[in-house]
Amino acid sequence: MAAYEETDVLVIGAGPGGAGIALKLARAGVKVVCLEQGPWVKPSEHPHYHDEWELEKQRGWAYDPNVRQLPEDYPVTGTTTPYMMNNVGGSTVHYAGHWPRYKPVDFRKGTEHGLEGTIDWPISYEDLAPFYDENDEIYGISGRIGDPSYPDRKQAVRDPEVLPGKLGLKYAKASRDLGWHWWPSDNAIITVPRENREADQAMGNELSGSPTGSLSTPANAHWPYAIRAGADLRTLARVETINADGGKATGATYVDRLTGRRHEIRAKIVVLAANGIGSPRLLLQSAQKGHPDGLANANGIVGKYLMHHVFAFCDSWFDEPIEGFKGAFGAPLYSHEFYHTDVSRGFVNGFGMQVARSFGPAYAAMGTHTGYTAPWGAEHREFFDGHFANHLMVFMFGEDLPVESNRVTLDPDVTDSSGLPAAHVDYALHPNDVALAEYGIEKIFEATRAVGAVETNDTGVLYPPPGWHLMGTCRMGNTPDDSVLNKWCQTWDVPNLFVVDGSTLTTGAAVNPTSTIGALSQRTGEYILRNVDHITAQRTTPSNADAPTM
Amino acid sequence: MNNALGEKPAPYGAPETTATPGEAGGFFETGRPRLGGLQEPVRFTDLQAAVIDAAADTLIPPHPRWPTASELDLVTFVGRYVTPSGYRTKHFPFAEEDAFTAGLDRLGQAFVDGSPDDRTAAIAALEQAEDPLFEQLRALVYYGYYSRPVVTLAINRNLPAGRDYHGPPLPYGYLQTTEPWDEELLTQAQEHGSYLETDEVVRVDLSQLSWTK
Repeated sequence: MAAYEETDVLVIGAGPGGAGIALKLARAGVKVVCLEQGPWVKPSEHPHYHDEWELEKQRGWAYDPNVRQLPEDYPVTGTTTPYMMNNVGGSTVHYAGHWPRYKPVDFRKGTEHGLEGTIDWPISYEDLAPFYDENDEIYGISGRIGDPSYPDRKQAVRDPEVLPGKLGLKYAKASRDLGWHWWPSDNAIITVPRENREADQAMGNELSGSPTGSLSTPANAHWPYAIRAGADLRTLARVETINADGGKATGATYVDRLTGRRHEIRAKIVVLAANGIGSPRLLLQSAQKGHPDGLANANGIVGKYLMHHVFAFCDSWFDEPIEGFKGAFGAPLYSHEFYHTDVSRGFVNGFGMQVARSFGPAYAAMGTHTGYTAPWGAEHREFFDGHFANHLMVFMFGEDLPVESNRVTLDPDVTDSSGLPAAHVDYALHPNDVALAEYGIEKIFEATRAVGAVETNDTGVLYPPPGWHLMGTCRMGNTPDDSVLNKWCQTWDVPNLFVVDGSTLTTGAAVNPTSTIGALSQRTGEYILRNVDHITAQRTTPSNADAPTM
Repeated sequence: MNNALGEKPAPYGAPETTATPGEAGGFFETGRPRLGGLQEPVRFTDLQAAVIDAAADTLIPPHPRWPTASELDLVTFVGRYVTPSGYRTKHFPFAEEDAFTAGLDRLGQAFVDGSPDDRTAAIAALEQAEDPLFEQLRALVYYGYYSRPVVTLAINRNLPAGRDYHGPPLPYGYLQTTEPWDEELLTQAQEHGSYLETDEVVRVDLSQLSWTK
């Protein structure tokens, strides 16, 4: 018996990047193996049916793996709160499901300002638009077509939008009265049932996932179908090294976390999709003969240009019911009034105002999103009664510049439970990001005060930012000098090694990244499907101009 | 059932004993910590339980229209979320049994017998000293109190904003009581917003940036 197994395409990571490609390739009859270090998350693990659901958000459903410390998690040291999950479906198993797209300008920020490490994407919005539509249909997206701040997307399939409640209506009216843009959000939350998935019941708390399947994640939208089509998904399979020989990737070696045994899989093509921290970590820890500084890292760019978005949480309270505990968490609406660069404000880039929901009474007592903890003792009752469910939170959500020194490296002093080195993050806020965020906080409170907010509180510019979004660390670019990937997500150094996840994103825009990661996954899957023979015959990665077309 | 290393699973809901699986304690983790905390709560002495109840009534003082904290068996709730002696304190609120009970013992009978003002002074002293016991007690009492079904009923009764709150998000959700969009608002929304086409993107004037000055 051979000491290794063989497959056509090996995918590493079962989140949005890997799942999209695995589904597409498996349906086309390609032999696919996917290695995922985490397990399936069972419906019974979600806290939504429990009285203690709010406390459980801090424990097994903590966003940060350094806090959660489940067996499948790995440590991330440095200046970061990396809000990732390691399981089938990746971090979408605990996301809000807010599902905006990039705008055309977001692919041309190098042209617009080129500050720090900012470059143009090697593709345009128009190149990606059909794959956004294709990806949306797989996930199941609710929302309303017609936002005037985006190009037309009449082909996109949508369930009816989630209900706004008093909270959504309040901020919509504030935006309207100020003459600002606003629009009901697209959400990866279905409002019409699908096979094996229940429609949203306006339950909230999607940040602890959804036991009913109402939250669209690859765990329910992709994997059941990819497996049905023949994909081999191996859970608890933690990749140790991506192997290479003669300038080509040959596959990977993984540790079976149940037995501790190592296995090798060889493949014609390897797709890395382990998120914006996990993917550079794996490339760096795959240093080997011919690749002394890590795989696909001859230019030293792997891990650099990490982006998280710049955030501030802005709480407002009213003297009337807002009922933020009701409704799908994703977001009822957003305002992109300040999305575009206006240099008269003193900074480039822009921000979105993303209206969030609240949680329950313990969340109100413990200080909502801004650490405004209810006093204990004699003042407790009056404070709680005046604040619970009179609360409206808006995320100030801005584009951060890609800065070379914001990066992921390996921490040799800390290891995961398989003995593999932890990831280490260095991240500092750029003055442009701070100026942008401070302006954004003011604008959000301008809106809530205009509709009667009686009290406000904010976090200031958060540092480190909440690391929901892990982007840019293996970015697509224009030449081997400015990036890790060509325009088809192929690594410049190793032609049969692709990277598709948040690390692929050249710039971060001011929107949640998952719909764009999914669209890139569809596009890359289609490219591999159409060019598999060409790719496997390549000795070097072609330039963007010379690469075969779709 | 043991794992491949011959370890036994840790007691349900308890984290492993060491940071490195396969070493020392000989337990492995079964995954996510148990919902609801420990299946077998940490047991407190009668005096420690009385201290927890007295602290609960000090943090959330009794009120005629609200359930009294000390009558809600928060002692058992606290026992479910304290890490048992001998196990690594991995999960919120990061309270380890030995240190936690030692803190309760320090408050002791004097705290239980004290007047409301005495108890307030004692809790304030913990807060002032940044004793971890303060944040652990406050978190456990706030999370415990506001997760009890009788408190949910009081919220429904007492607070207009909480009239429809029903505790856990499921199985009921809030579909029947959440307002839909207003068609007039949606029509108005079409009037604001624009975007740049790809070929309209040009260099901006970087001399106006405030942070470079």
